[in-house]
Amino acid sequence: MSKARSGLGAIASTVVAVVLLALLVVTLQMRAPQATEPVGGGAVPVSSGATLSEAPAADVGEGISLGPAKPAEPPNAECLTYATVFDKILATVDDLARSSTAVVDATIEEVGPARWKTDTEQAPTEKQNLTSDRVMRLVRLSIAEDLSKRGASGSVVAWIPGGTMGCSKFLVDSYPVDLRVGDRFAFFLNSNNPPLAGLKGVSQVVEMWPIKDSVATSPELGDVSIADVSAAAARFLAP
Amino acid sequence: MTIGRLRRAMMRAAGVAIALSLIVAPGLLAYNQLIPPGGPNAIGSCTGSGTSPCYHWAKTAGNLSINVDVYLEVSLVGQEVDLRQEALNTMTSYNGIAARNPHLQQTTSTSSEEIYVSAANLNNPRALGGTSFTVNATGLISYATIRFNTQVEWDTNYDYTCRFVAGGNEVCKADASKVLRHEFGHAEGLAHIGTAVGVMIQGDPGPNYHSLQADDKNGIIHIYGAYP
Repeated sequence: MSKARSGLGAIASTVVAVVLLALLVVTLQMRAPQATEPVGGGAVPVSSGATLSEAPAADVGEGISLGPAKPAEPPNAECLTYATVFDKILATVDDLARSSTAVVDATIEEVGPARWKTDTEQAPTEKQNLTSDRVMRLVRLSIAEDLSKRGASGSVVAWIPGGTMGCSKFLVDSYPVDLRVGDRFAFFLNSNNPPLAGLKGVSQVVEMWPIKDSVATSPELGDVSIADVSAAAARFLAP
Repeated sequence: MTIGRLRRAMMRAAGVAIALSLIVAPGLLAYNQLIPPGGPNAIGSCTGSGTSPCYHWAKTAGNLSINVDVYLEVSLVGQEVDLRQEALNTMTSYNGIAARNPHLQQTTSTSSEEIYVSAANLNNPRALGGTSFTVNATGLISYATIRFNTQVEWDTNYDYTCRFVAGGNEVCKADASKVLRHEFGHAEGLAHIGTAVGVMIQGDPGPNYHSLQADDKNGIIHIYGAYP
């Protein structure tokens, strides 16, 4: 009987110890900084919630790895082209600025590999979902000027649809498939549409217009002066 | 017939031919550019042959067309306009062109379809629809997906407007009939045109087209060939 009692006591002590340990782990996890949210499979921290719209002066993207934890695989061995054309109601510069969270004059500093923009970060299993807009790249942009006058500077990580995986190309209308470091664009960014749950704060490149001689060229609107882009961006986005 | 009469007759015939060519040429010149295998980014560089073939389904000889199975997802029915019925009307329109373009036929099987049509959230209020392709190096389409944006308020009033609502979001309206014909045009291999001479004009209301125009049909004939 006493043996049984002492046995029960040992079990109770073990249970209490386990509960205390679990509580300790939960407490530590709750106290851990939000900045440890996983990026693309979980290896690299990202500043959770730090968006250009919320923290314009901060560098968003320092230290973020642009690649997934596991290299993305093309859907099959055959070299195919996947292309998507979207049809949109044309937007004026004002419309674009108003629906963006930031507009910056920036150069491409680093280009990440193409990766799947799916929950599993794997190729979709249903063929109707195997579309080129479900592939994207992370890019690090070096901001030359925040045209929306919100004080953003340094570098920012953003995502651009499309890319190349193996010998297969994933093309999305109006986004270049080949991105070159050093190329300069007017970027219309939206931080409200992260590509993956683990990439909060990473802005979507809604439009990217190549800049040459203070003129940005829109595929639909043609040449627009940077001064006009800046005026529109400041009108709707400046604090 | 004297030589003089013969010469006059020949000159009259030549004049008629020149006049006819002036009437016909603008239509022939106006057919759509076609989507090249370089992708939509390279629109305009597609010549339709050699190193720059255009996107197309398998072509046939004679009066035959290949059959292409189209699956119409149930999501199309739940919109402001019955997009599934509009899709069926659109398929009939393309099947009615006197060309060897694919014969679009509805299938209820998702294992055999070659074009999948659905309504989905495209996460961009100004995006009306999107067409995606899988093509090989010769531009041969093996599969296409057409999506219509559920964020759009669909109507048949030819109303292309956007407005900002509370919270700073945009809401756009669009004409289902024209957008359906436009997206199926992409799925057949047509690209955008710069002037409003057909349903393949992008983003601009233009004239009130609820049916395929000569320019659209000429584009299809250019890709697949007319019935001999």
